[in-house]
Amino acid sequence: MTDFLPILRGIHGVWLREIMRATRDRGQLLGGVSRPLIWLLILGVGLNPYFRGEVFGEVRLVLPYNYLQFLFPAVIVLNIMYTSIQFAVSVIWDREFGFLREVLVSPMPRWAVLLGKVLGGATAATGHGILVLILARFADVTLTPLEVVEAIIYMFMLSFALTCFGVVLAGKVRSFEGFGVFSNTVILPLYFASSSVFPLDPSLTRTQLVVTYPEWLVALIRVNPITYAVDVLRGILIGFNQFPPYIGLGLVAAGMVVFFFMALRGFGK
Amino acid sequence: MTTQDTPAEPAVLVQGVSLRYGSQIALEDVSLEISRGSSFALLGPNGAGKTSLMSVLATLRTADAGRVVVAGHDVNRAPRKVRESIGMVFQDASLDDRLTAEENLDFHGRVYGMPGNARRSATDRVLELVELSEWREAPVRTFSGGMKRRLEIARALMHDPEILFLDEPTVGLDAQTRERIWTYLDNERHTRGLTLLTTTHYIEEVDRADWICIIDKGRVIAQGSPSDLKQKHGKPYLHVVAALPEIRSALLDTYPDARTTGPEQISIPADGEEFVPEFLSRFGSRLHEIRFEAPTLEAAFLNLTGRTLRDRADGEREAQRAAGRRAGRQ
Amino acid sequence: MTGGWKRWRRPVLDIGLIAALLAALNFLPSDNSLADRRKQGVLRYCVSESANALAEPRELRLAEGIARQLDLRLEVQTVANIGRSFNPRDWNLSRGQCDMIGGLANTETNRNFLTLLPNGSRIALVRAGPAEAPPRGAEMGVYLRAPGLDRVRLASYLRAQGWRAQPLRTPEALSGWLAGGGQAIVSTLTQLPPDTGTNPLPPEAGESTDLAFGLWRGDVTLTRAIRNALERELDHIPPE
Repeated sequence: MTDFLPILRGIHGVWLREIMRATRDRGQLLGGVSRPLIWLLILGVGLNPYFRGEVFGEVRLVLPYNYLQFLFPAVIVLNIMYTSIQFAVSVIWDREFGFLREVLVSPMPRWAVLLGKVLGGATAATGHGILVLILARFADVTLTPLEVVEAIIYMFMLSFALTCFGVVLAGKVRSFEGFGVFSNTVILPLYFASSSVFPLDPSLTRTQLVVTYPEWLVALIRVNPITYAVDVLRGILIGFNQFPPYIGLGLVAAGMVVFFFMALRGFGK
Repeated sequence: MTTQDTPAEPAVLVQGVSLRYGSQIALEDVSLEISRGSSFALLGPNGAGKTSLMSVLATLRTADAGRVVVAGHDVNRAPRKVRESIGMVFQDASLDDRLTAEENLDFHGRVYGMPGNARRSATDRVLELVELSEWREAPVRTFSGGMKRRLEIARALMHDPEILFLDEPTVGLDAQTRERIWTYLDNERHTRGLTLLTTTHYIEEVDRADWICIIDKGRVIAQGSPSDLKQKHGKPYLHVVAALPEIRSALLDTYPDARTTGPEQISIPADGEEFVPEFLSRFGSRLHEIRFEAPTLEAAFLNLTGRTLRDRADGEREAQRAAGRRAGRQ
Repeated sequence: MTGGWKRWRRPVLDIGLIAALLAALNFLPSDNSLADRRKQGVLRYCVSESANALAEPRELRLAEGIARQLDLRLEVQTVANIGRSFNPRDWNLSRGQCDMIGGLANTETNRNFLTLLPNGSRIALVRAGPAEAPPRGAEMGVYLRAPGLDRVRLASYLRAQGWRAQPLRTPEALSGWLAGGGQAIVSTLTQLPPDTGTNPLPPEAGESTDLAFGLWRGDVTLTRAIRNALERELDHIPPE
């Protein structure tokens, strides 16, 4: 196992490079702040009164939380999604500009290169999630230190899975320009069709649900893995779950493994 | 660095290597040997298979047939050992523009598994070598094309490789920078026994090599030392200026291959070792000007491939592309 | 790593700046609920007519303390409608009328409608009447008025005991029923005629829960201010 240490150094090196790139990219940092501001400060505050209780016994928002609290975990997931999938740009970038080749002729095994990159991307994405956590007071979400730790661990898992997913996507896109499409064809549809900005009444059965929303939308939300990913974070941050949390945790854990190996298959070709 | 192999063993041994992309032949039955500490140039027009061969040597591609041994290690059986013993300078810029010179080198050292103090001393050494020590903390995006290239060479030398692969290392650079780069490389070759494998378009660079291998359409068509190749495949010329018409006609009568190439100038193929002394004894005193043109590789290349060494338009396009790529990485 | 702290200076400053900006934004009000109260200088506190200050003096003291901390005058409004039916919608209690509602059980049902701040007082169900429970087949009066208690659980308990439920709708009906020798299930908040005995009920009948102040969900700033004030009040008015 004398080979282990050099590989570890390599993984650390690749990770470090991703972190340096991410933290020096002011545009990306700005995006990481502007998204939560738009979603939480503008959309959240804008819609909150429409979900407010006005008469005792009447329900606007079916959950025991206000709209800002409900939205807060979803905004974190959105920020993580954007950063993770944007990370795929850096993979395309590296491919376009030969940087990937430089690493691929090194003695570092391919899986280690990918692992370093993905860990870097996941760290950056988690960082962007943590930026949103700072706004907890604004959304009136109170957190214990343990909850913060749990949230960060889960955010990292989610970031890892999504970053690998981004690399898989990057493998399918052959040009830079192709990436802009990601945000419109992947991130936003997944996000909106995930019960992130509107709640599914947890007390209703499926038959009752389709009274509120059309059948196709309910079906879409139920098959969308992001629905369950957001749900787990809601469970941690505001103590509310629409589904058993093990579904989301299982999906995220499976995503980490499956997407990593899918990414490895296409990586560096 | 691996040193257990015998010194007599060549740095690179290629035997009967073939490679195809689908139905397209990239390399066919290529065999060559590069001795340790030599400077080996791979010469060929675009698409001849130079980059494919490099990829096979660098373990980026697996040949369909044949055997390749690099620094004493078989590329298929011990690719990691091969990778540890080679350094690579790519045709395209491959530095990270957002990082400083030092950070780029440090990253490289980490990827090659070098411990911290080894990285630091290697960084100092290679920056010194390419005269970029003062720029160590400058972001690479502020570098000129030549500085970037020098840094890339420094990076490739950082982990102390036995063999350095350089794919068109000086495309798009001015003559002065090219000269500097070759000075660094020759220096490393002489002090540390580094083996160089270069692909290039520039005739001056090819001339510096100890050994040249010309490939075209995936095959080796000639190899040898520059003077060998010139002798075998190029022709020397003697250009003489004579004011008197009778001397000019005497020249044309004596040498049937001679041709008038200027108002008072006649060019004569100077084949054979005894040609020059014999010519001088006959005509030496009666001429205004004599100019000897040694056999060129350009001519040899033309003879062998039927093409000029550097398709000018091609070369310029490539230079622009390379420059564009570098500039594009903001 | 060579270069050390220097290379991280700019990124760290950038991130610090961003974090500071976000932290500062936390102090932007998310809505006008607190500002509106401040403008009017009044905190309207609604309680049931029957579960008034006399029944639960501790809750009232807390409410007064909260109002004092927020620099508001507490305006106690007794609402006859509260508890009139099982469905709180029939009470017509609206945000325009009350800012905070007292005497609510901290239960799932209530939480679906309001944001609840448990205040440490307790509510439970008791049997009012002689110590000896009535035989199977007897009629048992039911007078709850405190909203949000688990009626289904109580109903199955009554069934299991073999008692027939007799709903009592008004305080008068309750005192009449008790005066007539009947027994009744009531909440601990109910004002009973003097000398009426109370007997605890087993957990199957209903849980003993905290009482909570009810706030309108979505009143983010007011809720936060009241929550903080309540926490401070609880420091010197400890939970029961």
